[in-house]
Amino acid sequence: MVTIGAVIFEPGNAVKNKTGGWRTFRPILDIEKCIKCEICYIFCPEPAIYED
Amino acid sequence: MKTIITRGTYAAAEAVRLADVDVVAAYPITPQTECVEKIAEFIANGELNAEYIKAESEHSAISAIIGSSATGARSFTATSSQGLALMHEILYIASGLRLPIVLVNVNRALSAPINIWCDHQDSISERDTGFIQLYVEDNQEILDTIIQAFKIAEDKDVLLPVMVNLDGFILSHTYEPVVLPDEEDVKEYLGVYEPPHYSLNPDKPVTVGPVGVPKYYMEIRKQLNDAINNSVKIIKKVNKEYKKLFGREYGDGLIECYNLDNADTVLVAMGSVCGTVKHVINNLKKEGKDVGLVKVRCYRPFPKKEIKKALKDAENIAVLDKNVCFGFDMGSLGLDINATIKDKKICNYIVGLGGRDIKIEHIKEIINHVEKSKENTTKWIGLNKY
Repeated sequence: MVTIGAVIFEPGNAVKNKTGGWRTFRPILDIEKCIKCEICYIFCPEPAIYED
Repeated sequence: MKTIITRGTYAAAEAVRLADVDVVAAYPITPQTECVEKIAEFIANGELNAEYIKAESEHSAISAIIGSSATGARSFTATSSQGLALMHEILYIASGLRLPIVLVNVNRALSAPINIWCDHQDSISERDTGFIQLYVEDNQEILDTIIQAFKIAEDKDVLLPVMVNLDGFILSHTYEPVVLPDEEDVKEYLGVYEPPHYSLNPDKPVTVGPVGVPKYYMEIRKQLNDAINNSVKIIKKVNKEYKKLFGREYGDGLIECYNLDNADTVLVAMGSVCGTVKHVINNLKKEGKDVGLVKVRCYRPFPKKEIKKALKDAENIAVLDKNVCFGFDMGSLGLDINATIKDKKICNYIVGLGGRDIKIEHIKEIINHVEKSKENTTKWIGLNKY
């Protein structure tokens, strides 16, 4: 249900929305299998991943 | 009620005074400037109790009245040509937030080359902004339409901004008799604007203009599309009410049909040129020839059903456009009539760009051309060798 002009009357009602549409999937780093594809580097926040 | 002799810009200002507007924000531009100058004079003289915001650009002017309208104040702005183009991105916000703003656009050509005279390229370029667009024929219609525009915009089933378009110089700077309704009658007719949907109020905070994520955006746009489609009923209703209260009506509010009975050839046009067309029609009638006119007063929402009905017996349809859809070799009204009417001969005429006069002989040339034409064509009228 959308209001006229998409106005929000109830403060804090964002919790009712499913906002987890991004970063639902994330890579898990396995050092043994690492080929330095840098997918983890792109997904993870600065500076979580170091090349060495 | 009294009759004054006045120019189009002043007729617009008188309408704003009578509508008892609360906030006006504007930036000067020819040929609109006199309209807001007159309003400023009314406020300075105490004839209108309103806040006047001198904005630093048209972009700011429309932004300011979006804010004022959101607080529940009756809000107005006026502009022209490049000024309207500068408002472009904010126009979508006015309609998206469903604010009943009234904007007067004094139609003027767009640059380049720079040109201060009349055509409809400015407002046609804002066709898809979600504004209701009305086009007027004379100074009396300017005054009446602006008062009606507030009634339409503020209707609980509409809640949309309305753009009232009047032809630069041809109307804006031309003196004509205009009947002014009594202030008290207009006040009673329009009432006080009380927003039925929302308003900005520190005691009852709301969020205006939140992000519309993909899950909701389409529904919000559909709601806007439904609202502008539904406004057809309200525009008709307001036209009827206005006739009852103030004695004047303009067709059914959406289109005005002129001498359609027995007319095989029908012209379709918007704005002040309709006056010239009616003059030619009257003269041809004296010679025993019937030609009709469909004046499109409401361009958005486009009155498809009404236009279809009005043109059902026409054999030769001539659509006049004071704008060009570059790359399609037609004007916008020509395109819309072609999309609305099938299996009929429709010729499109590009006329009066950048203030080029549309003379009686041009209208006659159009009538002759559409009657002789074997297929749908587009022709530029009054064009010199180049």
